[in-house]
Amino acid sequence: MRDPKFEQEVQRKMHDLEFVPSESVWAGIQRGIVPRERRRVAAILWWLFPGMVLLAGGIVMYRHSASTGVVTSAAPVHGGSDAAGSSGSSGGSGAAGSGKTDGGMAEAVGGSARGNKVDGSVAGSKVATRAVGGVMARSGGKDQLTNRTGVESTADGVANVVANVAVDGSMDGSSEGMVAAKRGSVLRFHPGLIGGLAARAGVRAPGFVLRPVNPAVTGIRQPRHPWLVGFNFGGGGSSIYSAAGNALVSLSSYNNNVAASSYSYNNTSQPPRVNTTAFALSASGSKRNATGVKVDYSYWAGIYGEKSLSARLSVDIGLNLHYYSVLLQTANPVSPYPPTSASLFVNSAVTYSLNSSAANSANSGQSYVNSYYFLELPLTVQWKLNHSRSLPVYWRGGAVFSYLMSSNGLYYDASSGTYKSDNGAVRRPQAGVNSGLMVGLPVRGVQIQAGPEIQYALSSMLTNGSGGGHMMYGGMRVALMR
Amino acid sequence: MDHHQLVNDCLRGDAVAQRQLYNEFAGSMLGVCYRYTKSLPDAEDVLQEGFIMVFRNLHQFSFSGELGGWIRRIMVNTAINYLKKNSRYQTDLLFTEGGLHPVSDDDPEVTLSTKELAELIRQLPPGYQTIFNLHAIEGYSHVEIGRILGIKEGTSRSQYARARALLITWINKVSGANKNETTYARPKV
Repeated sequence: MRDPKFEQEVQRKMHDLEFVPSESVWAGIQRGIVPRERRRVAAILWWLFPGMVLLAGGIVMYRHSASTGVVTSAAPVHGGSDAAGSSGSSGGSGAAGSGKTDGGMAEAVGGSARGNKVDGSVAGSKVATRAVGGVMARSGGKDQLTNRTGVESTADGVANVVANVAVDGSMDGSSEGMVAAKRGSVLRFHPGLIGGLAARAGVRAPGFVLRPVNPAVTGIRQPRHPWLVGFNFGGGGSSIYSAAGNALVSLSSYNNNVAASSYSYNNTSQPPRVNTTAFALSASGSKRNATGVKVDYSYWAGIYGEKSLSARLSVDIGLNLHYYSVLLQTANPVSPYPPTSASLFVNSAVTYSLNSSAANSANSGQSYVNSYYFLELPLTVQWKLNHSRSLPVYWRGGAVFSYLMSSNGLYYDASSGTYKSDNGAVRRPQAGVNSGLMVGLPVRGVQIQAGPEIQYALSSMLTNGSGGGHMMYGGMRVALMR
Repeated sequence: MDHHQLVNDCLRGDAVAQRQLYNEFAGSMLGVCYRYTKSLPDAEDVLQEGFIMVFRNLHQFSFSGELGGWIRRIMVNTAINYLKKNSRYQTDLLFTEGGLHPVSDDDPEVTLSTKELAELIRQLPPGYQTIFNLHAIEGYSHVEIGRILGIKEGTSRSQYARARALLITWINKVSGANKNETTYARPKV
């Protein structure tokens, strides 16, 4: 810079230049800080509501899964099926089969596996309750410790919630309940996030007293790349892939034993075909085999949060409820051979459907839709491929951790020649990968992305056996973000 | 006033401290904004945006320099962004690739008052006005100005020379000390 007298003089005079700003400027500054706070509150509400809906839906379905699991017959109840088969009608299966089927169910419930499942579901509900309690406790902890948001917690209500969870856990007697209670009590003393956010959102939780929050206080420290939240949903088709071609085939030694004992016990009047019946079914011209696993529709919805790491790279984490279904088709017609219809036992509704179908169309194949409800936690990296602002293209890929909430899946046990609906045979926690190509659509006010996406479960569907396959999904994804 | 304490109070969310910081710097910063804009309402808009940026980024202030200088840089950047975004200034901010225009050797004494001088600077076309402010008053080099405004260094030099010459003419006219008879026409941008 030239630094002669002229520049020095101008510089000196201009540094002395002052004006008195109008009062509206300060008011505008305060307003300028507040809207970001409001946007954050709106984003939290945007996140909380669908999150609660998803959580509630998951709990309901999980409980539903536990209750229907008792009805479902896990063991190949040949005795009951013989009786039903001899009756030969749907009414017969409902009436005549009921006695022995109940016996089979009672046996199943009394069995260790089924009993554990029921306990597990109850404990699961406790865990869910604990989670809510834990969240509330965490919020109390933050408010007590920092008092930054101006929220004051009496914490008694929180303590009561935690105590209730603890009592429930101990009454239930399950270790999960106790652990949950312990976790809840521990979390109580740790600063949490959700409570503070809920308080900012104006949500009044039990046991909390809200005080006015100075908007200028919270608007100063802002992350450079804040988390953004949005909805996403999608739909497409799902199937189960198995390289060995034996998807949904279970070869459980436990089931074999049960099948053998059950058969020998319930069929004392039948010829001694113990240990040979199952193989006879599968070997005698492949009278039934789970050869057809076809694509059926699938859809999902959820919420996600996204954080930009740079101009082109971002990460997001979501919570989705995903419905998968596959169409299961028996390759050969259901044989009227007595043990054959007996092997189709699932629950009462499915039994009726399949048996009546078998009775009405003895020479046609049967189909059944296996449905699965998964709660998914996708962790995804998104990379912007181009520099276009009007039509950006993104590649996204990452991992998906999911948990089976509910299923009515029907599986073929090649060893016993039976189909069965047994949630215990399914691996509930799953891990997979996903990838997709998204296009940002130029809509003012809302960021919209849409594009194809595929997902593949790395873990096998069934907990034991040589089959099981891997869940696959392909479809369109639409993401909305404010 | 201990600025260190004031900043810490602001970071703790003390609304009184925030207002105090604003009161201390708002007047002079409005002067900065005034030099870059064409009207006082525009200057107040810039001041408002600038202080919002100040409060949001106050945690980045490292106390290694003057707080006033740090706020001033934010105001200048905010003002330039305002000019770039505001359509009223955009046409005049299209800097022409003028030929080399040597800086006049005139080095007159500025006898005008502060506000009179500020008014004359504001009368410059926005392109000239911005470059003059950045170079003569804020002390940015032409390389830095070129980087800030997205123009070549030579363009910045040329524009500054024209702005300086024009301003000197106007100063001389206003102060009645028009010693040299060179007639400067308002350069076409």
